[in-house]
Amino acid sequence: MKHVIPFSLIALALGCTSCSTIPQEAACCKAPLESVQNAPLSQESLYHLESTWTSQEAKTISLDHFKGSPVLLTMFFSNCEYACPILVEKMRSTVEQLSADDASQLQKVLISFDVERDTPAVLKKHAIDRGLSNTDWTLLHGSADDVLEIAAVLGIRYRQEKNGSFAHSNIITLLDRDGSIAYQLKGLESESEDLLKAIKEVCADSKR
Amino acid sequence: MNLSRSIVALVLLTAGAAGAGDLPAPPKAPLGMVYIAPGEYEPLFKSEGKKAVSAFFMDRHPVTNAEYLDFVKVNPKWRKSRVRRIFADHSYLTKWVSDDTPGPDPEKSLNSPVVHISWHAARAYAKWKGKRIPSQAEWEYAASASKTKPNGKEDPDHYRYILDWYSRPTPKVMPAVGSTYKNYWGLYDMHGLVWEWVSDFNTALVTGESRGDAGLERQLFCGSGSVGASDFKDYAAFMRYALRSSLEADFTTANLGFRCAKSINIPKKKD
Repeated sequence: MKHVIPFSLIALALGCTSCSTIPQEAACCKAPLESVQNAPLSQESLYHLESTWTSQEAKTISLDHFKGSPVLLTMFFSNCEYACPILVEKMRSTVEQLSADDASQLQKVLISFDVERDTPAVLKKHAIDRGLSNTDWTLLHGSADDVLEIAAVLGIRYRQEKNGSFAHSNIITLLDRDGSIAYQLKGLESESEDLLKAIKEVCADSKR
Repeated sequence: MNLSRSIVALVLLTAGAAGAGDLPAPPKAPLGMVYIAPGEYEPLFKSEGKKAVSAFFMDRHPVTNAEYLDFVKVNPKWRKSRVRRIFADHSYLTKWVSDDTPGPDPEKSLNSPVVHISWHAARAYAKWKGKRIPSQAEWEYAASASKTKPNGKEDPDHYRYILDWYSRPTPKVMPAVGSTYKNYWGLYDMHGLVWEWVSDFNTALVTGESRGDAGLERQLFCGSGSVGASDFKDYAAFMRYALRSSLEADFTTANLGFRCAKSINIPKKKD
């Protein structure tokens, strides 16, 4: 798999992973702990998927790019008027309840269903409009086939409607540092207490 | 005789195809595949609307254990002992005797359809073959053909055959591929042998009105799901929808296999 971030940049950012103030790097560029980065992946890791994605900053990244950091992930599309804003808000409000240290470790990732319309430029505008900062959030655009695959792995069902919008399951997924699913919050009305607990556990685990 | 037959064929083709007035001669299918003419597929749920299906090629029969063995031999990461759990659950190829011996019967099982296979595995095999797995629309469209008609929905014998099969338990050793009937397109075993993966199984049963997961289940199990159905009698289609909606990409079971499809690059029309 292709790593597009030069190693020197990773080494540079490595010194800052434990700081609560975040360096001005895009979320995708923060470096995880080296020990985890080099360990073999578990059987269940999502990072075995070989898909490639483009971020809102037009950077090409593969999923294992997030290896070493806990990840909060959901699938959405920018034209969504109902469920997606609620999902994203749920993610944001959950993150706000974390300690600054845990919050800075956690990568926030949104993957779009809408491969036609949600180009990196559209995703960038969406992030700005929604106040999703570059340092904290990565919005990903991918091919139809790769979107289908990751949705299948996450257990997300979706279908494009005739009007171009998407019907989809509402699931927020927490990945541990290894890319395995640690917890899934299903449905819009679910309480996020258990998710919060799971994030804290995964973050604590990361510090070992 | 010849004339009347070709008129019948023309009527059948134009019945489903959009603007099929001047069809070019069907392209020659690759070895082991058949040509499926374009047509229209009516999903079980009305809200989805009718879907046009472009012409495509489809494997004549489900992928066999012997064929799958060829794949795992050169793609070791798909061996029974090596496959990663994210791609296939614990029962992946569970009836195989070893990494390179299909089972349960090493001899008899060779020509049986490969089962205990995950969606990821089916996709990887198809990709290796330069093919893909069919979409739900393609599969349902091709499978709606009876022995003699592209649309077997109006054929009571065809329908009864499918339901009879659904009610039979899965045999210990699967019969060989090709052991059921050949349908209108020249496809074997679309019904009567194994269930088959489709590429977009995870689009089953999502409707516009149900955006939460709880909603999905309500749509599936309460009356609201069937009220929107396009064909109330099509119990067999309900069963296939229900099966797909219960699947996950890593699931493997004793009666779920797959076959491949291939898109056709349509040549430009000649005058």
